[in-house]
Amino acid sequence: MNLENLKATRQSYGEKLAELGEENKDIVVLDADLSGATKTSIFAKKFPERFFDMGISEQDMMSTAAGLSTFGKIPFASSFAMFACGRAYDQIRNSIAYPHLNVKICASHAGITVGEDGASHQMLEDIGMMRGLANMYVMCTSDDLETKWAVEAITKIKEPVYLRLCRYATPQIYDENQKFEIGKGVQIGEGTDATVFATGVVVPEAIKAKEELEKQGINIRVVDMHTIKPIDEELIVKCAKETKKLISIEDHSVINGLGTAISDVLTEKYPCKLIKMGIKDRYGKSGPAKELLKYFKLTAEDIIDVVKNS
Amino acid sequence: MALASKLDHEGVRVYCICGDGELEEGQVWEAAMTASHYKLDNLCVVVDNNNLQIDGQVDQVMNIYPLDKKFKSFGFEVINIDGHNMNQIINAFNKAKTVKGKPTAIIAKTIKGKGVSFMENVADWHGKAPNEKEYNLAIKELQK
Ligand SMILES: [Mg+2]
Repeated sequence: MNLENLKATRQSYGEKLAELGEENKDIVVLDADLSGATKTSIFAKKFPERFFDMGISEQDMMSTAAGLSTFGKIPFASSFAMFACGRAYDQIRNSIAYPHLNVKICASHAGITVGEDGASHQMLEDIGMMRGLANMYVMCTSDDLETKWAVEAITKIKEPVYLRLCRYATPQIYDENQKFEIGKGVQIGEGTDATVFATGVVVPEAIKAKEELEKQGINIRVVDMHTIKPIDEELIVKCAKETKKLISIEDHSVINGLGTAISDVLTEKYPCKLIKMGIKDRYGKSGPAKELLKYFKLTAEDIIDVVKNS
Repeated sequence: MALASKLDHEGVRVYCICGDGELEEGQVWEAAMTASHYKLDNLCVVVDNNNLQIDGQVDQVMNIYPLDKKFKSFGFEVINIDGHNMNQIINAFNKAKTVKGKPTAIIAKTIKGKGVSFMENVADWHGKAPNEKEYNLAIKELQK
């Protein structure tokens, strides 16, 4: 992990989208007055004729994206996760997921790591909302390269996809040799003392915890669950069989998020205990992202504590 | 769809039928803004203006009027017609095709359940199917 090389997944998204737009003329991009923050502005500058600012009208943005996809376009619709899911859930459900349309909803600024904007802008329920929709893919990436692989991969599948992106910059985790496949979690390490399933911005925290614990003679593994739906059942069961303790961590509510998705698999396939780390049935707070991670117990130190003491 | 067909110059015209009660939804006006902002002159909205919705008369449940002024101020060409007069309907569609640079809204005054005495202007028939007796009676009246 390269701690010097920090980048937010929204930035990687914007860069990759603009790159893909060059070869793939079917890609069209929509935003709801937040293109500077979601980074769709990079695409907009390069391909103004294929970029549509819909104004602060998320519902119409989703329906317009649905309409564009019926004409063979590959629409990417972006806003903050709060508004994309919160304001336009009905349009996502009935105009995109239900008719099974090829629309990519790429929502940035998810989770408490939005920071200073505070609870009203910190979307903690989006994974749950999107995971409940039949046909919908749900993804949440953790570093620059993984985000770019994901953006490329979702362009190739003709499915509705929700990609959760963040404002908080994360270190570089992967190099070019890493294999990426939608629906396949990435296992980091072979430790058998515990498995930490993580998604998005907290994956680096889990890796830091793993490295620190190693020094103390405790060997854990980290699983980066970049795809939350369809979830990697096989890998979850394998880790449950091979490791003594199971922990999930996410910058999202512990209700209906990654942890719930994992326990859904465990209850049916391999019943055992899972400790869920995340936001525990409450709203966020305003503050610097780094401090909020500490406040909500989502740091490497908190993971170490859970591995050792619960 | 209208936006997509503009992109590829496919010359497709898009017709969208709206109920009048439905116009109480905010998204309709988001879409109306978009249609005129992107100059979608290939879009023709038809409002089925029967002044009835599930809870009763539209103007009593939630007043949406004046409709023509609302659509005009949202940048639409507006055509008012009697929605039961076929000549007026055809003329309105033909006129809409000639409008350039903005979408068209045809506001069609209609009577819900027209032609069936016991259905006309009765909100109760909004989402109900007639039983066999009612069906036969209705067909008889419509065939007159
Ligand atoms: Mg009506």
